[in-house]
Amino acid sequence: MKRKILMALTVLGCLTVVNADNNTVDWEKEEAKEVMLEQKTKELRSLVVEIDMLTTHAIRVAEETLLSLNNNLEFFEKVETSESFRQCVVLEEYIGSIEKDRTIALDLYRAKKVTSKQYESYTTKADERKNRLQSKLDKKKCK
Amino acid sequence: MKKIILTATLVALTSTTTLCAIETETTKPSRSQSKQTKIELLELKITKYTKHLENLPIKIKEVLLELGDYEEKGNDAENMTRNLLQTLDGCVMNELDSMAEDACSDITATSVSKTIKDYKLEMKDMIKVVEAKLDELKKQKKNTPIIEGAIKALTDARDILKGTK
Repeated sequence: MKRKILMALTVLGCLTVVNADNNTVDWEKEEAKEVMLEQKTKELRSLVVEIDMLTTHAIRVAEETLLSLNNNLEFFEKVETSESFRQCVVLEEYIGSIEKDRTIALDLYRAKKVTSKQYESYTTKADERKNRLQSKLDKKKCK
Repeated sequence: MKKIILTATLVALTSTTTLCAIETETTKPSRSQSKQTKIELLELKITKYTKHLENLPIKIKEVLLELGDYEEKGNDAENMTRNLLQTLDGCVMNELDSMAEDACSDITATSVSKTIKDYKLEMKDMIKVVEAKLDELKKQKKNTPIIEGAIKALTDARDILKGTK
């Protein structure tokens, strides 16, 4: 009887100890998690600070880039719309088209679709026009 | 014998009381359990925010590199056109040797004009892209106080939980 009682008491005591231990383990886990959470929150906060700084810097760079690109565009527009440059381009285009027409006229003459008289009359006029435009172009110092 | 039984009963009673107290401590906390659940929820939220934000610095750095490229392209195009125009002038003004004549034959006001038109289109496209990126960055900047607020709320929740220990 005495032994049985002693055994029962021992079992009861062990149960108590195990239960208390489990409880301590729970607290320790909880504390560890809290420390980890604190660390993670700190990391998150510094990440946000880094992002904020980078974003501010990137906004400034983007604004500068935009300004620079707009200046580039303005330069191109100025050159393109400058009267002398535009006239040079137009004159060159006229001369180019006269040269093309002259080549076509030669092909037609070779293919005997036009007479030599017609061809000569056309080329003479075309050359006169081309020379006139060329001298204008030279005066403008386009090239 | 009677004494033994009495002592055993007393000890058993004490132990049971202790057990009950400990059990109450562990079940009172379903409170402790709910605290753990809250901690897990906080952890989940922090992980979610971190995942959402951790790639942003890399993305912003990529945008910065792109912006640098655009600026360089714009300036290169302008410098190249200035050089072309100077050469064009040079071809008109100077008495040219045959090599210079040859070089000049490749550059005409028309070809420069075509180059300028192409560059203008390129500039306009780049301006659109940079404007879009700037808008995105400004939106990002507006988000910062919101994210900071959310983190503050998480920190407060964590502190409150800490206090319930």
